[in-house]
Amino acid sequence: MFKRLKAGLKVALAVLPLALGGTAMAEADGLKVAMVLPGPISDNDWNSVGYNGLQAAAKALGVEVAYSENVSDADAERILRDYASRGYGLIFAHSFSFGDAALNVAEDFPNTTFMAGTAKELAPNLGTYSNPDYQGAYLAGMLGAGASKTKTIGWVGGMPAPNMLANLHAYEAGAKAMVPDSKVLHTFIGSWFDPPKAKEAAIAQVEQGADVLSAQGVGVIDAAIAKNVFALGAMTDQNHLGPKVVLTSVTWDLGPLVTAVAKAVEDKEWKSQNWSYGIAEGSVKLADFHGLDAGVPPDVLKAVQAKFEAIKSGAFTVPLDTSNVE
Amino acid sequence: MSTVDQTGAARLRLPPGLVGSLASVAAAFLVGALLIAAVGVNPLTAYGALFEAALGSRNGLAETLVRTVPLALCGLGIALAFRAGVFNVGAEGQLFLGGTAAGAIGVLGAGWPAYLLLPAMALSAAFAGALWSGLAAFLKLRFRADELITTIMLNYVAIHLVSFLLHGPLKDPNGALAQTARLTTDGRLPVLLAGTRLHAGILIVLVAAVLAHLFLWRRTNGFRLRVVGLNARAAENAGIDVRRTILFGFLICGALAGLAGFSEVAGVQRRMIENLSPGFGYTAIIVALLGATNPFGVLASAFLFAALQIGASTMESAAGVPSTLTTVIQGLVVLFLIGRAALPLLRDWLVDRFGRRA
Repeated sequence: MFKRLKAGLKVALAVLPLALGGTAMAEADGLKVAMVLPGPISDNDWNSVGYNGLQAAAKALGVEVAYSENVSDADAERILRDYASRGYGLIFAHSFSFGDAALNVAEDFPNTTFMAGTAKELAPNLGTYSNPDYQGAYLAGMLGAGASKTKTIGWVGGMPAPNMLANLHAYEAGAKAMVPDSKVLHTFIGSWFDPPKAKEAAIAQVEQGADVLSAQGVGVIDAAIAKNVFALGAMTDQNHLGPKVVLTSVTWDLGPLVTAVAKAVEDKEWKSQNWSYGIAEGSVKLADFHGLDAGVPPDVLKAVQAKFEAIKSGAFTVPLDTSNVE
Repeated sequence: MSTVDQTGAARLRLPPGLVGSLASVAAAFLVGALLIAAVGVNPLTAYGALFEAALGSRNGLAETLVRTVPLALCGLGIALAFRAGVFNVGAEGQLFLGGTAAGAIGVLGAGWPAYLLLPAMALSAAFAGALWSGLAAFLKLRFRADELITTIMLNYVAIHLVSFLLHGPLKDPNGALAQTARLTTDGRLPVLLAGTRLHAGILIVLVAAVLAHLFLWRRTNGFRLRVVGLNARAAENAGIDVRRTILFGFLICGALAGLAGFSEVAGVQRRMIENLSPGFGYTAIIVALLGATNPFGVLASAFLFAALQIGASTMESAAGVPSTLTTVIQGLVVLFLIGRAALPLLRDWLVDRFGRRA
């Protein structure tokens, strides 16, 4: 028995080098694009937006794409390095907290283009892209305050990163614009992906009187279902997560941006700057109401629609405020 | 059949545990291959992609060595504690506290020259880790609390304590994230291979392994440690201070895990961050077991597990095999390691049942 096992091992050892040689991949000529994501691509949220954007670019340009999901902050630099050393020409670090890692790797791979989501510090080969969904958050705030019977609405988000702060402040501004004496509750749960914690925080807000919740993290919609209050989805049309409670969602389509960046890299016209595609560019929208607009006063809906058009045409600019909150 | 039982290994006088460890790894890879085949991928392609990524390039090899550092340091600590009969599974929390101490000293001492700052960071990290481990030692020696329970529970306390510190007093005042300020270049371990992340932490590992080896087999205290682990009562009767030896087992494990935290902060992250470790302290338990608690065995198994983890993500993107499969392989290694004692039993049963007919 053991002899046979040994013989088997010998065969395996003999075959191993062949296997190693066999996988040496041929270098593809075209641009290869990679994206490193902090959570699961199936979250219908931030990570789904990133993944969908990447796939849209793959389709539009025919470039080869790859991604890594559920990457922790501690691991981000290694994964970014891995893609850079494997010849990926454009690499998206799709998280605010990957900024450090992207800076470090960009230094060592000057011929690779990096794009870090909502980064503060840039380098000649490291650009950033913002998430101007705060423009949509303003509309969500208007809608939420207008639909609220208690004049109290809630907001649950991950970490107080600049884009989240912008979202919260715009949500608040929109609510006040619609209903001047409305109250906005907010909670940062301290994690980008912690559904039980987000749900808990959202339920606490409902218990404090909130009857519309802005779901800036996975778990809030579950709370809205449990407490039977309206939720405003984020990132993708999240109605299917709670068909009776998700009034609408502020959607973000990263496809045009990823495609434009990849095209610019291919054409050697890429520049290190902040790429921002918002309502005016057609990247941020309000999703379909799936019939739930019946529960919202018609004048509120009309005001929101008018504001959307005003932002799109440039007649109105949503205030961008990223100051810290308590 | 009984003659086959006298395996070649025994005649070759291989170090004890080596055959079992290698067989466990081989068996785990074989079962892993079946699972890969089950998702419709050629196992050789997948394993090829895995090891190609981990060992086949300058960057891959550097990354594997970078990952070896925390696994080996924690593994050495756990192995030494095992030798003293202490089952310390608290390396994860000890690593977090070590990293936090290193990060805090690194920020406080910004402006000090590297030859002062780095040792200060390393010492405070080792001290913090040993202190945390010492808590469990106190509970065991004073109240006979089982360290298996206390150390694992203290991990959660440690990680939440660190999270509190990073959200509060230690937080970088200029940033939004729960992390310390970035270390100055004097507070970073030097990079050994330009263009990669391979840092001087690997040298600490080599020195620690050699010292651990010399301690275990060349020093009286090392002998005492082993005797206590083999039979505490006999050791007591032979006049060995068992309590002191057990305390030492705890402290050395905490100190080495704390050093692992230091090397992650000073060598890799360049600041203390939340979620510093993706479970290094837990994987290191397997590393220590697979290395048969032999310092050089621990080095080798730390390298193997590092390679597995580094190659996993590439295997996923290049061969389409979920990277979690490597977690399964790691688990299988443990199962086979523990279950290898059952093999002779299984063989006897088979012989008993079918042998006569055959």
